[in-house]
This record gives sequence, structure tokens and C-alpha cells, in this order.
Amino acid sequence: MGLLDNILQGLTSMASVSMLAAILFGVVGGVVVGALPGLTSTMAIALLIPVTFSMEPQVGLAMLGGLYVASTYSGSLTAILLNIPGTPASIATLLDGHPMALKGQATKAIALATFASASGGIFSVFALLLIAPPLAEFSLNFGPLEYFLLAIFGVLVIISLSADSLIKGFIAGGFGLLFSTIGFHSLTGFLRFTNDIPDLYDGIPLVVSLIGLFSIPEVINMVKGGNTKSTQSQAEKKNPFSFFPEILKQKFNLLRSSVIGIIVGIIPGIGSSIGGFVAYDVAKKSSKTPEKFGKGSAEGLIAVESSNNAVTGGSLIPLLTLGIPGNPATALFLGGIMIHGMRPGAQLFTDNANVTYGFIMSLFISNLIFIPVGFILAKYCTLITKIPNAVMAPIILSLAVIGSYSIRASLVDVVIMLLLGLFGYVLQGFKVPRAPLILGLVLGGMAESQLARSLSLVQNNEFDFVVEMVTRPTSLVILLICIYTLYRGITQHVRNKN
Amino acid sequence: MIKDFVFGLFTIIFSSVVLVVAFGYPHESSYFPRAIAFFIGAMGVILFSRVTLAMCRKEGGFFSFLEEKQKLYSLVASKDNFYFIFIFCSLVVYLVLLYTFNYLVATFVFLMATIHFLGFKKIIKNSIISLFALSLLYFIFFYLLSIASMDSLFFNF
Repeated sequence: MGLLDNILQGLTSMASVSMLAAILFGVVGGVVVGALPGLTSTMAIALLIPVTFSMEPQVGLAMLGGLYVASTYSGSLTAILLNIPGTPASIATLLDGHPMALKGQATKAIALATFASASGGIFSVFALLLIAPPLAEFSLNFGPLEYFLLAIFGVLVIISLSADSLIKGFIAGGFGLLFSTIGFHSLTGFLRFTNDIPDLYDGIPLVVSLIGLFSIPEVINMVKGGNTKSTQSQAEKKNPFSFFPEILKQKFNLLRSSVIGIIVGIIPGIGSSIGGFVAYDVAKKSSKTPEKFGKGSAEGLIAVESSNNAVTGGSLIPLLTLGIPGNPATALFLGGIMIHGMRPGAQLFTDNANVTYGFIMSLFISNLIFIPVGFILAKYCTLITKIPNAVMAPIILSLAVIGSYSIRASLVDVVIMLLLGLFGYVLQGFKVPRAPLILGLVLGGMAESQLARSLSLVQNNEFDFVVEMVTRPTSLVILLICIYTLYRGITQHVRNKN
Repeated sequence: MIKDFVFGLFTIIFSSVVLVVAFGYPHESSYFPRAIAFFIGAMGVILFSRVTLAMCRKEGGFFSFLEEKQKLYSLVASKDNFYFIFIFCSLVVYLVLLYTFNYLVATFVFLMATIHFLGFKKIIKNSIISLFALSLLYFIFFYLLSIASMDSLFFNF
């Protein structure tokens, strides 16, 4: 059967009530899960997989897919309204989403985030549909050296996040990289900086650090505002659909950021949070008004949101074609596929074409359905801004506590969250950006383990390591991109300072 | 400027402590944290030197920072830090309550007390809000997501 026939068959499978109901359930669940800090799509997918066992394969996968794409998007709602990222994917949304809300443009921010996320998701579905096999082959070119250089590139994105002080940004990023070394060394198994606390053997969980670094300082800011209705953000009374033309004006930014997200998603292990930061960095460097970034720039917000949702489709490419999951959520998808007796690879697109293409088309529908669902939930979320701070702050704190506990059912994680909250507050007081710290924490593990693997492949000979770096085409390209990013970032900082 | 001075100093001390600990580990397991600690230390030295030089160039010389010291004292003893201490202490108490009693009791007491102390003095509305928030959190995390219940000294459920 040709591609067109498969697509039409996939579309036909959408015409069943069970399929549409599964997608709607997945999307609504995903929007709620993603909006709540402490809940992750991985958690929700893990809980729903046994439920899908009794369903038809494409119905079960459609529900999981809807949950995955919607939860990646909806983390931006709390990021915009409360300056607390709902998911790791929405960390970069804090940079411009919340400043927009503080300027009284919360509805505009939510509308742009929603449309951008849907666009990014739809582009990635097209990529999944049309060019999955060659893109998957491209991801196989990435060895330990390339991954190490990608991690370095991600760290260099810190430059664009350090609006006021480059040195403080690098220090914050350094702290994140240091925190990522807590626990077992990935190759030698040696324990570092754990002080014999068993809960630290696997390092600091990312979600716990997110909650601590962002929730606690934001709650303190809220409490400082006094017992008034929250002035954190004000939503203007406007129809969110009225902001759609603004998205159309940013076509090139949207397309470029989606491509970045798709590429980041294809490479296993990078994560959607990185996609958002890289797209933000590129958008800022290409913008005619880079000084507006970090102060409520629609361009920055659109870049982040389209990229992080494009990662969802991109991450499914190596999963479906090669059986390589790109992140924990897609690893669970692998389980969901295998539960129904299917195996990833070429046969998924031939013997099980009706299921696969039905699932891909369901992602397309999910990316459209979360627009109205997101707006409805956002309408209730904006009501949050009317709740007095004295009531809102304790509720957020109790959510932060249970959210931290729920990751590993450990009260030690709550203590870690508290200590990181203290650290985040201190950083805020010294005007040190926190986003580079999170970036360092996310990338540190990958950077160290891939560096160790690369060195072990050349018998720890540093000269051979450098030779490998400049002779492998893929690593050379990434190295040149890193050098260019560093040069461009520093000169831009110096220019801005002068 | 005094903030950058203190932060630079903090960074240098922090990286020194990390280096001391990291040099106690085998080389193949610790070259990465050593390198990062060196990097952070270097950045801290640059920041500290830059600020110190700027202070020296100021009218009044380096000791003009004594005027800044007043600013630092007022920063440390500010109302903002009082709120932080209040939040931090309330969370510590909450943790102790979680460990001692069960989640339901601890969370209800925490919500009621914190909402009250932050200025929302309407007791009945406070109880209703606390009960509603507690029910929602319990339903989402312990029922829907089936999170393992917390072990406590008394009143395990």
C-alpha cells in the first residue's frame, strides 16, 4: 500500500466514536497533568498503559499520544500565569511567558503558546509521516562524541539566557552541572557528594529541582505582595482566537523553531526542555528586536512553544522506526506498543500500517483538540489570579510538597526541594538567573557520561579524542556550531553592555 | 555592587569546598566535577575582582563599601527575608507533621495555619478552602495516581 492509501486508512479510523473519545480523554487528562507542577506526562502514561491493554491498539495508542502532546503544551499555562513550570518542557516558557502576563497580556501569552504548540506539534506529525525513516537513519550517526558536543552546545545556550550578567549565568550553569554529578558515576559507579544518603545515589530528580527552584521563590514573591488578590498576572478580557493573526505573522519563526524541535526530538536523550532553549536562542539571535527577549517578547514565546511541542513528534520517529525511545515518555510508549504484540521497526509501517497510521493521524487530531481544551482550562487558570495570595501561596506549597514526594514516594525528595528552594531564593536575591542552573542540571549527566564514553573509546588518549572530534563530519559540524554560538553570544553581550 | 561582592565570595568558597571533596575521589570518577568546580571558581574570582576594582575606583576608595555594608544589613534584616523565613519554617513544621501524623491531618493543619497567618482570617471560609484543597490533592495524587501513602509515626492509613 502506498503512503497516501495508508494516510487515508489512518484518517478513516478517526471516524469511530471510541477513537475520538480516547483522544479527547487523553488530551483533557494531558492538559490537566501538564498544568500541575509535580505531575509529569511520564507518570500519567505509566498509569494509563495497563488501561490500554483492554483497548484496540490504535485506540490505546491514540489516548497515550493525546496525553503526551497535551501535557507537553499545558505546562506553559502555569509557567505563564504563576511563573512555575508545569513540566520540564515549559522551563523556557518562563523567560517571556510570565513577563507577558505581568504586563497584563496573559490571554495573549496563553493564546500564542497554544497556537504555537499546536503548530509545532502538527509540523512534527508531518515529519513523522513523510520523512521518518531517513530522519531515523540520521539519528544513528550520533555517537558519544556527538552527544557530548550537543550537551556543550546546550550549555552554551546559557549565554542567551544570561541577559544581565554573562558571568552570573555561567556560574549558575556551573552550579547545575555540579549538582548533576551528585550520585553514581555513570561508568565507574563511584558515589559522589551523597554523604551516604541513599536517596541521593541516583542524583537529584529534575522535577524536584524544578519545583524547588521555581515554586518556593515565586510563593515568597506572592506572599510579599500582601493579602491582596494576586497581582502576579492580569488576564485581559479578550477572545484568545483574536490573537491567531499574530501567529501567522511569525511564520518563519514558527517553522524554524518547529524544525529545531523535530531535530532535537529525533536525537534520543536530549529532551524537550533543551529544544525550547535552543529555539529561543536562535530566535533571539535572528530577531530584529533581541532586546525585547526576556521582557515579554511574543517572538521568544512562540519559538519556545512551537519547538517543545515539535519535540513530541520528533521523539516518536526513532521510537517507531528503530525502537529507540528518546525520553522516558516514549520509552513507556514502547511498552504500550509491545503490550499489543507489535514491534517497532519497518514492519510497524507495513504489517501494522493501519494501527501506525491511525496513531499518527490521531496525533494530528490531538494537536488540534488541545486548542479549545487548553483555552477552556486556561480560562479557569486565569481565575487563579483572582484568588488572594494568602490562600494561593499555601495551596501551591502543599502542591509542591506532594508533587516532590510523588516522584519517588520519598520525604527526602521534599527536603531536597526545600533546600533547592532556599538556594533558588538566594540566587534570586543576588540577581542570578535560575534557568541556566536547570539547563546545567539537565545536560550535566549527559555531558559527563558521553565524555567518559568518548574518552574510553580512544583509551583515554586526549590527543586521539581531539583528532576524532575534528575528523568525524557530524562532530565537526556540531563543534563549529558551538564555537560560532560562543563567539556570537559573547560579542552580542559586549555590544549590549556598550 | 555589595551583592556581587558577596556572591563572588560565596562562589569562591563553594567551589573550593567542592574541589577539596572532589580531590578525595579517584581521578576517573571526579575529573568532571573538578573541572566544573575550577570553572566556577575562576568565574567567581573574575566577578569578585571586577567588583573589588570597581569599589576601589569609587569615590572614597575601597572602604566606601562600609556605606554599602549598611545596605547589606538592611537587606539581610528586610521584611522580604522575614517572609522567606516564615515560609521556610512553616514547610519544616509541615514536614515534621507529615512524619509524625498522616498526610491528611498534616496538610489540613498546614493549610489552615498558613492561610490564617498570611492574613486570611475568616476561619470558616479558611476551613472550607483547606478541606477542598486537601480533598483535591488527595484525590489526584493518592487515588488517581495511586501514589504510595506516606509512612508516619501515628495514624497510618
